[in-house]
Amino acid sequence: MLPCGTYNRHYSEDMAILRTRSHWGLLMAFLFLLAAIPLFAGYQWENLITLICFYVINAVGLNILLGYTGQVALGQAAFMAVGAYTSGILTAKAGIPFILALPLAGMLAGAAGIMFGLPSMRVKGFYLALVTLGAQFIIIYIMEHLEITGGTDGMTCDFASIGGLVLDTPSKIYWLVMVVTVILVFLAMNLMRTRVGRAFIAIRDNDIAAEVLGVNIYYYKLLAFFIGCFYSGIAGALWAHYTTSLHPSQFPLHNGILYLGIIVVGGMGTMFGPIAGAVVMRGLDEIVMIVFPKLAAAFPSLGANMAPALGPMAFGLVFILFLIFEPRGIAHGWGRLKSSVEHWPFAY
Amino acid sequence: MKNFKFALMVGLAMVLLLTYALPCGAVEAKEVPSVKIGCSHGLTGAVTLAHTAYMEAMISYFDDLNKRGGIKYRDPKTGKVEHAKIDFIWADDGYVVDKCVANYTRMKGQGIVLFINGSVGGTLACQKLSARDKIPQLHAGNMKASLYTAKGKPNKWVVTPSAAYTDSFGAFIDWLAGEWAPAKLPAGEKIRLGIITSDCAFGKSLLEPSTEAHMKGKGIQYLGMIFAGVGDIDMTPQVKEMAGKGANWIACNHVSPFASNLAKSVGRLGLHETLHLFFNQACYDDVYVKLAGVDAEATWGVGFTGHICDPDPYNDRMKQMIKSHYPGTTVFYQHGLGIVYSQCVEAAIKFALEKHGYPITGENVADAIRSADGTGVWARPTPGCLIPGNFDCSDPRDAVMLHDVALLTCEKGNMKMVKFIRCPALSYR
Repeated sequence: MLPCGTYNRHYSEDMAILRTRSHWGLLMAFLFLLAAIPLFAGYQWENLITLICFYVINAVGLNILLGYTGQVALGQAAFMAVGAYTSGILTAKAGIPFILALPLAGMLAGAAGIMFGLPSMRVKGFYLALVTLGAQFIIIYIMEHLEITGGTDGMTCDFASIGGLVLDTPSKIYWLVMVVTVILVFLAMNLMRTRVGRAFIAIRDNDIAAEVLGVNIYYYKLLAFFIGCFYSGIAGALWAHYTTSLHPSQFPLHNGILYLGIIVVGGMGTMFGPIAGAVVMRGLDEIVMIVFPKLAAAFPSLGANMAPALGPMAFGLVFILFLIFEPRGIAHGWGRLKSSVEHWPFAY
Repeated sequence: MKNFKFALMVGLAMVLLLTYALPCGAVEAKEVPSVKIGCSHGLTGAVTLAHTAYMEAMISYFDDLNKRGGIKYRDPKTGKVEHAKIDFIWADDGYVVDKCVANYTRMKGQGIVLFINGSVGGTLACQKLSARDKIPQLHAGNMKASLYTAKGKPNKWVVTPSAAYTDSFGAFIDWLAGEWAPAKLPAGEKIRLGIITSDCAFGKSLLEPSTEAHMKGKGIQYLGMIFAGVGDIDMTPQVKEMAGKGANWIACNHVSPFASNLAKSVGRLGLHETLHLFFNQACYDDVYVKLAGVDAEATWGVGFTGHICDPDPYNDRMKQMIKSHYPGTTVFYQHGLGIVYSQCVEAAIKFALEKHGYPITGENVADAIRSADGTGVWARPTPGCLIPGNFDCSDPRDAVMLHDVALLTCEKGNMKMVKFIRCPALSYR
């Protein structure tokens, strides 16, 4: 929604993501704040935001696939594993620089995504979800049994380095992950304004109608799989050089479901949704991890058994509340909040 | 409804703000200096049963230690006897790696000097982070040595405080060939052993080249490994396949329900007179035997690693806890891993304080662990592998403290200990 008195007079204005100077100003201030966080915030904040960025990249990828194209996918964690192992192996064993390994990791994860997206021509909805669920098990099984991945022993790789600069401190890793996240979010936002993005949305809304209109739905579905999994691959590659150790157990099905939860809570089919969802879900994690030990200390009868069990219950409760009261997610709620503020004191 | 939605959104935003503000909150002033220890375990998720037991034990151990005034040490600078409390910061990671990393980073920000990690994946993920931050990790996953070393070099930042699974398996092999076979095995028969376990590092960890060589050396025919899924599943096909290969012993390395299901499958096939089971996992009570019910009577030979019959109040507390969770069970012993962790922490912090004085850093603790060789707590770093009847910590890992290995049998539902090997490294107590 545009501020009062601002009108679109050209197509380019209508298409602009940032329409006014205040939008630009706010964005610049926000980016500046993000960039400056390591300078004034502590280690915890850097790591917390770095972890949020991993969520954001994965959720944005899944959002392209599910939120914009309507292709249900549960195997994002496995595609992240493909990216992670690709980058880990390329840098640690083949000596390829990180800067090259990063896009290659995304490409390979995207290619894996295409492979598991092939059935999307025939099946959709829950059946497609089952196919992608299969991807989770197949890919992790392969990771557990390949010699090059170290199997169930895992493998180690080095911190990322770019042009001789080793990114081995939390701040350097933070900046790397943050820059990549901002670029990927920016690309995703722009993608949705292109012919490709409109084709995705057309397929999501009614694939038969889209086909009648001349959209090659098979091509675009596979493209959505490629892009969605490319994002996960990039997240995986960053993860590999963040932890510098890889193990199949780092990419459980749980994470794939969590990314789904992030975009449900955040708001599917919006660009703000995955970001807001990632912050909220990570925030809930923090609540669980901080509050429940304190709760157990205050009520010893709860012990280490009951208090943490309240965590998953809290997650469940949040999901239920969102599905009942705000099924379109935080993004929709935020939009309404902005609207009500901008119109205040008028109702509409 | 509209107002409710608005209130929901605002409320959520406020909770988030509060949450993000919490880690940066002011630290409470403490009368007695405290040393912060972080601990992340899977209190929900796949390993709840075991990890909550460890966590309960650690919480009560440190609680009790603090009530007694904390760790008593002689300050190297003043020569006076001082006290330091343990500020035990714990959290659940659901056995999920990124949550474990989040826990580690948050706790690191809170100033921990030692991190107790409950998962292999988490330990791996935090491996270089903890090395970079100079905070040692304690992890009793007891996996292959390669997991704890960086490119073959000792990794001083990951310490395993307990017997490796290969240790207890090695003890079992010794007992099997040296005591069981002469007494029970019909003449002319050979011990034929197969492994049924889950397809993960944890499940496979009892088998290393050294254990395989050790079996061969003892004249045991190894029949290979068959994988089975985790959960309440029927393992009859796997048992049948192993029996078809002529196995008279099946070993597994897993938690209670897995062992229970394996025992049930043996009973289901009516093989309990001829096929014996060895459970290498540190089960903390006899629940799995009870779970297996009648079929558990088939179970003969239960391997176990852990503290046992240790007359200290924490073990008693653990026993009470187990009994409250599983009324009607007879508690013979419990897995003492939580206690082992606690004792390791107490000993390491005490050494670090006595060497460096308060406050100590993670590096001080790591150095204390490494330099305490000969003082009774930590093992010497020696090359080679553990097995041949030699439980003296000859492990390629950098610093290993072995705790006791106990072999227990369960015949007709009665569990008893047949062999108990007390690790000399525990003499510090």
